[in-house]
Amino acid sequence: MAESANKNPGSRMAQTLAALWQKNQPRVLERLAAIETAVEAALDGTLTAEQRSLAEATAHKLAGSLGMYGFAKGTELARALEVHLAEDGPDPRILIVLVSELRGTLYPDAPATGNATGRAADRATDR
Amino acid sequence: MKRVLIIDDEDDIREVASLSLEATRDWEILTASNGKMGIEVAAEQKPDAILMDVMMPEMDGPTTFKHLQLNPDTAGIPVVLLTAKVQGVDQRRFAGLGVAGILFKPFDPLTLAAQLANAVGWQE
Repeated sequence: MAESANKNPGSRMAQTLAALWQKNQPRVLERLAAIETAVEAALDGTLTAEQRSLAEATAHKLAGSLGMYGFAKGTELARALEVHLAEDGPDPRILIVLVSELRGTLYPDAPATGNATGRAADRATDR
Repeated sequence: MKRVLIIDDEDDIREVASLSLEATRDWEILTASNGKMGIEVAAEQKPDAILMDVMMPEMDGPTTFKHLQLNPDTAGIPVVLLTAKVQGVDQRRFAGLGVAGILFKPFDPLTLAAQLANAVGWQE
């Protein structure tokens, strides 16, 4: 198994990419949380220009890397977040949908409850 | 053996791009995590090509490219920009700089080397 993987660059690449994806989890989660925090602020009406700009840059970084690991849908959602966050006064209802979908795409088995997406979704529902 | 310098502030992009180019073409890879370091490495090592991120803190890709062009030792090294900016206006702006090519993030690790070779005109 290992021998055939070494002879096949695609297979070796897939294994290494999977390992890199695991290694980079803390950073991905940190970036996702940073966007979620900005979305929470947008829902509260307290999103500052600086927060928005940082969240836009964070979404840009995710858009540029997720597809590399095979998450094409993740790149698409992060790019949509980047575009919306680039706008003055982004619509928080769109942002919450996008960030919820993004978390669901990357972590389909993890409940959103307890993280910023869960809180923001609850808040959006309450409005 | 071709030598390629990758300049990107993102660790994971550098890692995956390095892995991709080494594994699929057996090229020698040099890396730098910012534009300033990239300029130094390029001048010292004179790689055959540079693959460089556009959006980097302190010195972005286009500014780094201009510095490389000003140094006779590095002016002739083909530079390919790597960007997650997909809008046409950005692409035209980058193309206007005179770089050898523009590749887009996220890249496919299995085809990155072929795209880079094509951009700089290396026979495969």
